[in-house]
Amino acid sequence: MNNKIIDCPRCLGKGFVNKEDIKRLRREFFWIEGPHCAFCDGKKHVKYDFANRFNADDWYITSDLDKGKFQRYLNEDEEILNEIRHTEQYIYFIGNYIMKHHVSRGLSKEKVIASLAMELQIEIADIREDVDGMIEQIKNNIIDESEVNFNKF
Amino acid sequence: MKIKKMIKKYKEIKEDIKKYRKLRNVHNRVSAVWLALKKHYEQSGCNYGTYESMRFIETTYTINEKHQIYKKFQYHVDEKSDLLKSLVWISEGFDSEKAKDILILSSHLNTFMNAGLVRVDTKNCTISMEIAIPLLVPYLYEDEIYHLCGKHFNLSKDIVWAYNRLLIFDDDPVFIIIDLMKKVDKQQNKTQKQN
Repeated sequence: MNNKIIDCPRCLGKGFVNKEDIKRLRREFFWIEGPHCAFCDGKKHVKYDFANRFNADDWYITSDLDKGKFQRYLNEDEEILNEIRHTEQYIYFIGNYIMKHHVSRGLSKEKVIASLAMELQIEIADIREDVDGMIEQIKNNIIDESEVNFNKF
Repeated sequence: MKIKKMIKKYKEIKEDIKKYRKLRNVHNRVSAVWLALKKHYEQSGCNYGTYESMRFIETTYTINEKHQIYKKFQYHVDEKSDLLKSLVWISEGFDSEKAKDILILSSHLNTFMNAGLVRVDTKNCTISMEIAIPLLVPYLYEDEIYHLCGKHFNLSKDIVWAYNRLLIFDDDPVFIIIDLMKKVDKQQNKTQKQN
């Protein structure tokens, strides 16, 4: 049973992650599509043991992950696990904040950055890069033209 | 068969008398439409807020399939202008540097639309889109409230799409309008073929 090989549950055996996979696994705030699936290392198959231990939607397992940190994660290092939990909360907070204020309310990026910095009590410069990155993720993964139904004017 | 026709005729006459009576009390249209609007929202089952003194209802609707993008909608019985207005807030604070492009896009959209009006407030940096009908229409035909809300909601999805491309994707307003026209044409051709 331990040596059993299965199709990668993240990329569904394609070897790469596309927009549909990101939406299916609800990781719109975390990933962008790419040519290499980090869960199966692009091999299209994973060991059953590995798939049983880690969820396909585990946001931390990505292609640009530092190998040292990944090993610590595999060894269930408490410090890394705490860092991951905090980062996940932070990403969700930023993502939902941008969705609410920038996308839904239509506030400008600068206004959103200023109010977010005030809410988190940090400098605007410290948060700008994160907001820019998150807006790009949202543009790529959530605001999809095809979702709009065109009606007669 | 004859009885059925007679019943139909009787119902039509009854409706006409009802409307005639309503027309005699036309001065009550503001309160009557306001009551009908509240009744419509009570029956809809969605979450909304009522502003009794200003006679408007505020609610939020999701405008994408996955329920991630929300917009604020307001329905207002405006006594001053004698209109029932349906309004959606597209932007509650845009970047003032984009005002020129926003105005260009709004003027294109306003030319393009049969119903509906995009309003840009450059002082407060807001964009809204509204459709208004004379109060007499929903006063005589209550169903018009439902039609107005539906028509406005469908139209707002297209307007939001256009402004998202400008405000979030930084696209040029001319290209947005060209794409919008192409897609509307495509949709119309598809509908014609289906018919």
